[in-house]
Amino acid sequence: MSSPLWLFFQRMRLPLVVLISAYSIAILGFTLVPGIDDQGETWKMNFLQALYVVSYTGSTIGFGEIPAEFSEGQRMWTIVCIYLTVIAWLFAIGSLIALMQDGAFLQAIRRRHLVRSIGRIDAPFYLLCGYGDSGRILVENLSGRGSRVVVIDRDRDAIRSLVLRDHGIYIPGFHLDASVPDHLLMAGLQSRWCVGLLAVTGDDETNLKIAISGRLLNRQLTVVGRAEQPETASNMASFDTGFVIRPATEFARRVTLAITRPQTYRLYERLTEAGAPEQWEEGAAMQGRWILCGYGAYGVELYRSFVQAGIDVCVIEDGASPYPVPENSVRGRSSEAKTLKEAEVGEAIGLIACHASDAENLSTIMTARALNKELLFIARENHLHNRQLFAEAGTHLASSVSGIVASAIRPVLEAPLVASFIDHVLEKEERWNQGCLEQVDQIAGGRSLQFWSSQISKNRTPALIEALHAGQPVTAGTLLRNPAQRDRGLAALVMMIHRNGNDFLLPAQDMALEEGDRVLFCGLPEAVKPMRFAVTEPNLLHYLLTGEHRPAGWLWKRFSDG
Amino acid sequence: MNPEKVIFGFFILLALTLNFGFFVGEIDNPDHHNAYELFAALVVSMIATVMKLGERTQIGALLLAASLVADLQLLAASVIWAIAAHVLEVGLTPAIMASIVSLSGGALLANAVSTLLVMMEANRFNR
Repeated sequence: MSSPLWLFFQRMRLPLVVLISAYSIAILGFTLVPGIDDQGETWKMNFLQALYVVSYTGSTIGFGEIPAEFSEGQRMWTIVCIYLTVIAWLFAIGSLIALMQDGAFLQAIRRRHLVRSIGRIDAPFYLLCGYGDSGRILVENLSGRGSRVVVIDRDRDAIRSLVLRDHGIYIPGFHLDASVPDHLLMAGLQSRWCVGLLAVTGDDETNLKIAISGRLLNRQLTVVGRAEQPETASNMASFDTGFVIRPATEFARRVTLAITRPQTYRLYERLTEAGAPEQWEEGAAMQGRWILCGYGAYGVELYRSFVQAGIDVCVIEDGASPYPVPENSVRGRSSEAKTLKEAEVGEAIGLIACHASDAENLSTIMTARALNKELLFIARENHLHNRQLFAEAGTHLASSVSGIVASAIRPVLEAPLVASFIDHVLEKEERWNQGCLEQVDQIAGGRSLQFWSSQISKNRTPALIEALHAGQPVTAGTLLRNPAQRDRGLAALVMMIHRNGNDFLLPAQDMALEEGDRVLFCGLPEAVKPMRFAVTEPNLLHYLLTGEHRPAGWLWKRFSDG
Repeated sequence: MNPEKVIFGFFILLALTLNFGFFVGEIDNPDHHNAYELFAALVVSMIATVMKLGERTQIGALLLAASLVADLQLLAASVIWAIAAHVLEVGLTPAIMASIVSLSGGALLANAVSTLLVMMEANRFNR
């Protein structure tokens, strides 16, 4: 028997026995107690009459004394019956109510309901472990795109907040410890519809365990793991985790990019949407000395990155760092004015606050601002709920850790070509990136982007293949036309074409497509469907190419031919 | 000694014995079959069924099934008695008495199976 039902029967045994006994004693009594009819003869009830009387007495209905007026003896027995049966009912109902309120019972019901709903999912879904800040952003992204998600988190409040939010799509949330493999199985790890396992809890050990479980229990999954420490990251990579994100390295990469190549950073931020737009004026001076406050895992990565990029940097650390500190660093708390003065904050061009505590970061920025108003402030934002504080403190670039994690993971799940596209973008020079950003803004405005990719093949794009085989050239620009009206364009761009190992970024509109090409698009979500139609319906493609509407139905075809 | 097991075994045996007690005698002679005993057999059978609810084992499921069968047959016997004697007022003819007793015979078999299963289970755990 399944769990809640079993609990129910277990608890209700005694009440049911009490109920049956009470009723049977009452019925028996009525068949034995003699009544006196109007002739003075004694009579006794038979079982049917006794059952009838006890039934309406026990349910407190009370019709009347049948078949004749009761004798005093019968009435006395009726009194006993009333109290016996009513108390038995109260006991039974009370037990039922106590059972309904029992935590274990409710949890058993909830869990069974959840497992059932997992079984009913008939579309690909992602299993996300850890509903913190990054988990929340990922869930919003994924469900916004229409992908199904199942969430596991150890914290009850996290699951509650998941349930309370409206995502438009039903998202099952399990209040379970994700590091236990059984729990992952319960949440649907081995379901044939599970396509990805996202381990984004706040704890490295847990993420590692989840990644291992995912690898071993379901080989076809894409496993994505978040790792704070480098050891965990290399550990995850060693057993072939699909994608490992180390927020520290990503943070360092972003900040260095923002300082050394701002246009590239702008494009990078626009494409990845980490919620960290830089807010200094365009063309502000970046050359000069930067003060780095906080020498933990993030600080040390950033320092290395800065040194490699040739940026002049001075480190302030408070003596608690586990890493070897560079020589000319200043010792002390960065939120104290005297430490900042020692680091010559007056001559610096900017300051980066990357402690693990948001309070420390904010305090550093506020103190430094008082000493030098012209500084550019970059901050590591640990918790999204402090966003407004960072904005009020005058931070020019607040790079949130959860935003970084979510924005790094999103492209991996959206389309496989995105990662290599972004790698290319990071190598391009500033002018090119600026132009690319302008194109993106032109088609998408400020709205959220979506990436999608397609391979030019018989399975995915039959109409295209048909046209190509018929000798008709199809260009990249054709696909960007709106199938509803070919003079209008779709809100999309062709970002990259991958052909025979070569990548063509932002190809010209008249570049011809060939069979076997893998094309990466970027644009607004509403452009996806029309484009999919265009490459699968031959008549739509014909319209896009030539502008003629070909008759589609069988009847029309006969009329137009004949 | 487990009080729960004692009570469980007690009710199962009581159901069997009461049922048997009702069953013995000439099949169509109302004098040989007491209504009170049928009543007692039915009540104890129902209690025995409730005690078997919520079992998770295979043998527990079989026990519950057998108990439900016995309940059903005894209930049918009682209903026939009530209808014949009080509703339609044809009285307890030999034919009707025979029906009642044969139904209780069926219930007897079901109770016997229950008891057998309980004994098998007890034997298994004894080792």
